Amino acid sequence: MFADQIRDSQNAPAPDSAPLRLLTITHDARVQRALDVLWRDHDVIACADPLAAAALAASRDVDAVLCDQRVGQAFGVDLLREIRQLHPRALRMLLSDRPEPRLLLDAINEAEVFRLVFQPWNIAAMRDAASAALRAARLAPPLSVAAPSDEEIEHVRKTMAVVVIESDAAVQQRLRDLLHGHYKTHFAVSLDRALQFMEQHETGVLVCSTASGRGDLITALKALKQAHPHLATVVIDALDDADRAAELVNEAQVFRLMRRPFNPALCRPYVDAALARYWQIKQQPQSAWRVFPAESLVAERAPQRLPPALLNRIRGLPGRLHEAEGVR
Amino acid sequence: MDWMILVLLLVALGAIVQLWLELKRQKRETMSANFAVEEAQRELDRLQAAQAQTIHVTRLAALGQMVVGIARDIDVPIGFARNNITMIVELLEEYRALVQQYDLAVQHCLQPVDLLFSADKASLDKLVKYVEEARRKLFEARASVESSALPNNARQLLVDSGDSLAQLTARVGSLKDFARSDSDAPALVDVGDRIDRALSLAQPRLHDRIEVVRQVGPLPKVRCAPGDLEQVFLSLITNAAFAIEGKGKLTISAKATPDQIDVVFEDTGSGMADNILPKIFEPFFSTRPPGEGTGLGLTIAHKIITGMGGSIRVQTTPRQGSVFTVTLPVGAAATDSADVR
Repeated sequence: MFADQIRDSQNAPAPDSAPLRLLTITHDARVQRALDVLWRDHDVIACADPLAAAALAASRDVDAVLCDQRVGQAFGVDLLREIRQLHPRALRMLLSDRPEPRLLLDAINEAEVFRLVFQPWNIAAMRDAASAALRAARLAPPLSVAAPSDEEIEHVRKTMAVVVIESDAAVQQRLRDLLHGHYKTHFAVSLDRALQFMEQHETGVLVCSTASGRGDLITALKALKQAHPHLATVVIDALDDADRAAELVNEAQVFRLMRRPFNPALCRPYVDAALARYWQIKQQPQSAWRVFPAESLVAERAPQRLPPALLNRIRGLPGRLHEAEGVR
Repeated sequence: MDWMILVLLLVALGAIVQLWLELKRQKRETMSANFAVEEAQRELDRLQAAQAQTIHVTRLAALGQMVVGIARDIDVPIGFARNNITMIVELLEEYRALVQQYDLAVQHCLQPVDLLFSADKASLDKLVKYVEEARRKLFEARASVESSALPNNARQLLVDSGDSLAQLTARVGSLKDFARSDSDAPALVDVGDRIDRALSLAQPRLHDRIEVVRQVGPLPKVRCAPGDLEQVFLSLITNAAFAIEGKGKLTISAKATPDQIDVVFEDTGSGMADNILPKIFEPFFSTRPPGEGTGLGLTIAHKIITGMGGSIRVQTTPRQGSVFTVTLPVGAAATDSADVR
């Protein structure tokens, strides 16, 4: 299992490693003071000026950024997107006290946030997020913002499978029309069928709808990401529950999210981006720490609650990370 | 001759009987008419009560629609205060550890005092070194206690928690005011203040994604039930918020002429198609998904404003936005009226 491989090789940062350098961007002095105390063991750099934030992140070479949803006239998502371009090494977290569907979509698909944090935050989860960011900053090389070359993408499209789990026949047909012929696709009506295929074929991207299949697909996604963090997922969700969206980001590290009914024009660009991400991590497996999911906040929805046979099957999927080959 | 008198008497008697019957008929008709008037009055009262009930229900429905946002509004400051309290406990524990270190240093300093009286020369030299070391430790421990930011941090977190809870109290107060404002008697009302109250109530729907531009200067007061005006503004603001998908802008401006006040709500939302526009004031017409609107908000708003002698006008462009203009007549300031902000 990939996660085990990483854990066996280099586990956590050395105890004497430098503390996490974390930029917090908020206009709210009360929030800033609370963050200062919350992360007092780390090096917290406060910023209330949205115009200076991205440059500050780069000049101070911060490991992580937490940005409020709104900083003066600026939107947190826009600032994080800017920071992603200027200083991609910094892991991004968005703080929001009133998440809206549009904000969630932009945070996931454009700012590629590492964690979505809703107020009031969970103290333990926030400290875990800082620890995870520290581990990623010390162990994982940055994931490039630049897209792979056309040659690479073509190679990836031909060799790595895109598995679609969709039980709704009409939606599956729609996805088939969009994806078939462009990728090495496999369509399944259930997780079980998808796993059968994934056991035999290298799979780079999983496309699924949260309404698909029986049982809790989100919990299965969490287990998949914990065992195989390199796998990129594109999820279709109604986005009617912000907490579920946060669960998908934080605990299942969803790479792209589409709002149901989904916009077909986004489907292929998202799958292309997901394949590119899979390819990047395959080239440098340690970077998977950057997309490693958090532990479940709700015990009932933790991967450990899945039936043992299913959990073992998910964990036993071949990693294939050290078999990178082909174009460079 | 006698029979003529008899005939005259009979005629007179007949006339009297006829007159009596006519009077009786008229009395019956009057009673019937009075009854009809009373019945009509009762019906009017019933209709007015029903209308008031509808306004009340719509007001509560507006609150109901905001319940998720309201729950978050309450949850955030409470959670903030709870988190701060958790961290204050941690800070106090850490401060306690510092003080304990200081205590140890003090004890360390006291030990040589006992030895001092029974010491020889060699021991005294050792003792001097010990005292120097003890003084250094004591100085460091004292410096740690004095320079520690922990008590200040804890104090600041407590102040922030108090502010957060005060904000919550104000929020709950405005919700209570809105829910019970049906009983408001007409009074001279500050329109700008009602806009602010409606904005505050609608905050869960606007929040950070919608930029609100408020261009409201000093305005004359208008006579109305304060809660009614707030309900109209709330309805228009929440409609604008619903029309804006993602980020957008809502501009609220107001200007006064000697006779009237125009309050304009201009949004950058989806606008309305030509076939929607004529229906927007119809009862139970809604473009929102089932469960997200009563379809009565604009109907009630229109009823309230026309009841005040004003009007609501709409301009809309699909995919660009809508402009709702509420015109309110400016009544003479009555000295016997209550003056409400």
